[in-house]
Amino acid sequence: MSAGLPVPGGDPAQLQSLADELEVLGIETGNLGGSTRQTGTSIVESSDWTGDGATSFSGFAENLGQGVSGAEGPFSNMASAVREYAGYLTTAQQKVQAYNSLAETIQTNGSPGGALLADAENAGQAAMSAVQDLNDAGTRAAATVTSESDSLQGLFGSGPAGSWISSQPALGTDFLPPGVFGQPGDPIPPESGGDIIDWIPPDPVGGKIIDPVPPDIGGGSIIDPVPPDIGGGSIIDPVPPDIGGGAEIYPLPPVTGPLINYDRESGDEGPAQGGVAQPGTTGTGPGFDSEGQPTPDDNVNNYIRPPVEGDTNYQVFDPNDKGITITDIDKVNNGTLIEEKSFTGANTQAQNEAWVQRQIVPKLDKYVEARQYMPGYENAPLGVDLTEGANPQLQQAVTQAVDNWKQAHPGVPVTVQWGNP
Amino acid sequence: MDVQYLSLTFLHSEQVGRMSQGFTVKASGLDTGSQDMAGLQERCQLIAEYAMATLTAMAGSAGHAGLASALNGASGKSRRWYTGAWAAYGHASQSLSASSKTYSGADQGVANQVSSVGRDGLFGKLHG
Repeated sequence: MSAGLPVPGGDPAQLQSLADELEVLGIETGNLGGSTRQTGTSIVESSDWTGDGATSFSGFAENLGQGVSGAEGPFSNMASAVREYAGYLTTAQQKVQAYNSLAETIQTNGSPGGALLADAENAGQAAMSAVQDLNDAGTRAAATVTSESDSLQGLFGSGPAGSWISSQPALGTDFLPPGVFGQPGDPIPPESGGDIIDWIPPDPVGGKIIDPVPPDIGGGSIIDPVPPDIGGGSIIDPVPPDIGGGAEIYPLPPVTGPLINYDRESGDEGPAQGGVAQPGTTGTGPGFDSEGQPTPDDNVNNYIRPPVEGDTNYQVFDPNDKGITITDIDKVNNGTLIEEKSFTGANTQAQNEAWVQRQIVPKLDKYVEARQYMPGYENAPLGVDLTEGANPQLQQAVTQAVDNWKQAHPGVPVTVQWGNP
Repeated sequence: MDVQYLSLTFLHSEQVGRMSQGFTVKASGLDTGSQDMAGLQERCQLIAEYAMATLTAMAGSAGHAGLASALNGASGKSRRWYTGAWAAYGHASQSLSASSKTYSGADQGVANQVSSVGRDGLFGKLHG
């Protein structure tokens, strides 16, 4: 029976990195709000626009810009909460690992000395205390994230833009249940005015399919029928066939991914791997160049397109459930899927080995699991790049662990590169 | 014409008495403004995609059920919020484009009316 404590789950380094990204995205959102106000003013001035219309537009743009700028704070606060939690997570994982190493040593020795037992007892108490602190920190962070994300909805207030957004029946809903905008064949209700119903980004969070669109509908605003058996698809509202009569339809935003090219009538049952994008996928936005072709990017995923050389932080999701992240590939380089690590902890032999077992071996397992959902890279070799902290003792521990792993996974090449000791 | 400059202040005093206030607008400026707003809308979409992906990835790395749930919830709430902002940018862009077309059409109408006044009105009488 093992005397060890369960190591708290989670990836603190990844959390820190993502918190930094969220902070930057908050700043970007704030800048967007500033640009909006500036652009609104510029439009009125450059058009020599005066009168009620100009006043109305200025008010709308000002309110929109203010509301968008206001999101910087909530995103920054969410990032801070997660960053703080990640710090507790690092500490808790280290303390539990340290205790487990001592406990294992005691078990192995059989008759340990009193000093070792005392060390183990102290380490155990420190570990349990750190785990309790971690749980408290997680609860605090969750409360902050919830309250800050709740505050987003009030940012536009009752100004012109806020009122307009509130008046749009489909905005603010997670998904569109059938019938919200009438059944196919119904005229578009005046309150929706033919506006775009909803927008789902290429990287949706559990998007839900409402209705397949009949193939003979016409109207120009539908991209393709959405098969009912593909999760995470785009929400596209059925457009009634008698839509004419001057109703304006906002153009649908670009939707990338395999659904667009799905050709049901030809017998194509869609992507073989659920929502995983297949080779040849083109699109717009992250991961694609201005001509729609894949280009190296940061933080794209296998639902957007297959990986390409030069990608970084490539996310690999479960093909049947986009809510499950298998892993992220730090770097795609020379056909190799590379995990980058830096070692910053202490370096006793026990700690080196514990670190390798926690940071390297599980990652290799995840990489090899993820490969099968990365079209074109199903048999790609794996790489471990220890960017920092590669002291000789750690190198020995990593080499040994990788050799063991390769024996358990014949046919999966793994290379290891060392950075600064 | 390249720059369509419509002075409805003129219309107010001379032609369209029912208007409460005069106003001026350069229709081509609104058209350009419409494109500017569309550009902001694209920027909004790009940021939104990254923000939601980041929050979802955070949830996957949290290792704490409560925090993961809160982060997933935040991703959904962010999506709704960005969707509202994105649609508002689209609304502004479309409205500017529609106004530009309306004013351009009105400008042409004024030109026709002025031409008619020239033929049949005072100018015509003097030179008829």
